[in-house]
Amino acid sequence: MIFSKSLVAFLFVEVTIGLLFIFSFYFAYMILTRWNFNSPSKLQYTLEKRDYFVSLILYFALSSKVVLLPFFINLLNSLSEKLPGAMCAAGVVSANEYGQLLLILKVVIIFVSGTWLILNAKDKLEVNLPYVKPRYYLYLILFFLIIFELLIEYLYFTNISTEEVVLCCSALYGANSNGLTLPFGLDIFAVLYLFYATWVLLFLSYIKKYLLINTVANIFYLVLSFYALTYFFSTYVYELPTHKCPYCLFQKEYHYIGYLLWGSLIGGSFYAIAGFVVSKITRFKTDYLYRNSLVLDTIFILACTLYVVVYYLKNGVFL
Amino acid sequence: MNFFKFASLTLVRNLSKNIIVFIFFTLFIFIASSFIFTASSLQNSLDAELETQPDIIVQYKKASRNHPIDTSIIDEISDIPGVEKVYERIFGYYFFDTANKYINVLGIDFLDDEQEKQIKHLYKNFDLKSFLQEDNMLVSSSVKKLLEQYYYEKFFNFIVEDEEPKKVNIYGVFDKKINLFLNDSVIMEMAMAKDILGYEENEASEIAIIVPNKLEIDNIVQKLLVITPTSKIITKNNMYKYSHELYDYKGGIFLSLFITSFLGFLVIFYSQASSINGAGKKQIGILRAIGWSINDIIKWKMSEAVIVSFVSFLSGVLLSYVYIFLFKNNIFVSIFLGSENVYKDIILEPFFDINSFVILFFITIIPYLASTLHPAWKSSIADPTEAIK
Repeated sequence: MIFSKSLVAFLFVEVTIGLLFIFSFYFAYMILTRWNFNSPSKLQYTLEKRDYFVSLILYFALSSKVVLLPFFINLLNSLSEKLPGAMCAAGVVSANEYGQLLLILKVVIIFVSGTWLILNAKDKLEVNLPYVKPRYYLYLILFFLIIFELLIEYLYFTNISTEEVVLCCSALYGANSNGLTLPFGLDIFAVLYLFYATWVLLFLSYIKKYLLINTVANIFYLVLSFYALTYFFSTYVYELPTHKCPYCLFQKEYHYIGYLLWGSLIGGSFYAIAGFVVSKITRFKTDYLYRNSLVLDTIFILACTLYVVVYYLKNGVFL
Repeated sequence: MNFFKFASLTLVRNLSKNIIVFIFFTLFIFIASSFIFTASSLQNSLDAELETQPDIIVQYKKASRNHPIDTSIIDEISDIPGVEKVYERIFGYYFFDTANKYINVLGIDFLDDEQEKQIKHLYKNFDLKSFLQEDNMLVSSSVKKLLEQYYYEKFFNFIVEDEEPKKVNIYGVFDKKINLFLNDSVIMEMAMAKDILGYEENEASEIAIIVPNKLEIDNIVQKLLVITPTSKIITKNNMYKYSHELYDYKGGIFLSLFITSFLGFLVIFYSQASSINGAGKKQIGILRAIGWSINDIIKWKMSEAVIVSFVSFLSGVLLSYVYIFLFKNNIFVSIFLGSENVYKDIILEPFFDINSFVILFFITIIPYLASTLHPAWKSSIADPTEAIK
């Protein structure tokens, strides 16, 4: 078990949010099973009021989760000081089998709750709240995700050993790593080529309004960006050809650029997925969500490219 | 934004009711942030102190207790390639029986550049020649005060084993502001310190090694283990790690206790926010009647909570800053340093650590806002016709 100030605070806030969800679960369950908009009963009237409470809690939970995510990354970075062998969050995340899962879960929860809130806003624009059922099915998923996340968090932090040596990022991602490598036997230039091509596809599908293609391309973009950033662009940020790590980007030495890069990337994918889900469920147009997505994706690709260009201009060579 | 303006107006209107929450919340934040300021300031001073420490320290342990180390290995250590300088260090607690206090005795080789450098800035116009002519020592202001209580104005008699009491003159007082960790210390010539602490001629508390190239440290540690396999070797990195762990641990324990008590107060905040009197109900009823939606009422109530929490947060942090860094002898220092020994008038160095305040923000404002969610919703759904009646 590992122990620190930030960890205590982090777990406290996570438990608070979890409790709020448990608190609202009864309301949500009632709405899901008893909802009948055409009924003039007192129950229906109460349920409509309770809907406000559930959306209030979700709004609160999402805002807290969004603020907590960078704090969580920072926490992982600071814990690396306590683990033998760890130089950055990479080692801490790989300290046991729950770390990766927890990170993915956190992003998924932000995706789902964000989508829920957009759906909620659209629902409130209608007279007869037609999207209550899909909304509460989504809530159910979110509820179980949150409970699952709390469980994983508990397992993750209680199973970090401060004695066992963990791997540092250059062992996990670097030249002599044998764990994570590029998928399908691609080499890095193929990945880069695909990465830029996907962005062009995103741009074209946005202009032509092919929403499904845009969403699928966004998911591809997220995956490709992970590899491109870790194995190519990060070396330009660190200005060291052997240093390949997605987590060191968050450190002070690199001006906390990781928060911007990963933030814009995750935000971009979120808007595309949320836009797709909302457009499937409601009758509203979601072009503005796709526009946000494209803007964020473009910020990401520009920031990455800029690092390479600036490095080339400064030194006259590529790494 | 309109909600914030309206909320601030209604808060002022019900001042007597809101002021209690404000005061309690401010008090809570004051306590927590005082603790954080103290911890991070001490940590910062300690880090700065560690910066001046040698790169490697060799200690001799017996049954995991510090024992004098034989200085004859110094020559052997200096032969290791990469080692720039090796010197012995003398320090230890002298028990001042009458006062029941411990005084930290530091022995310094004043003719050694490295050690003199550490001492030089402590005392202005330090004249080495006159200092070394007699049995002299430099004392910290707290030690000076302690000795004065027992009428040792000019000198102090150290009781030494099997010898006459050793009379040492007080040469001067060094400025405590410069170094917090020398607060209970006296500094004297090395041979004299050995005498007082009961060390033999060829013994020292530990051996310090300076290595200019930090990349060689690990290698040198391996070679030291060959020379002295039983001794304990501490690198500067170890020291940093240990000190950070200690402060983080203490901070974590305090935080856990703080959260436990804060949870109790959240219940009070919750019930306070839930109890709405007749006038309050009427107010909401009227607002609903003139066209406010449930969401608007919730926004208004939440804006009130946000204003209260942020104002309390800022005033609590500000108050604690003033208390911790401008007042002497604040009670929070004794939590970290202990109050039994000579630690008396300590003024902490102002230091602001942003991460700690993010933590404070998370453990106070988010739970507080969470506790007001249900009351805000509850008051918003009240039936307007009932309320106005």
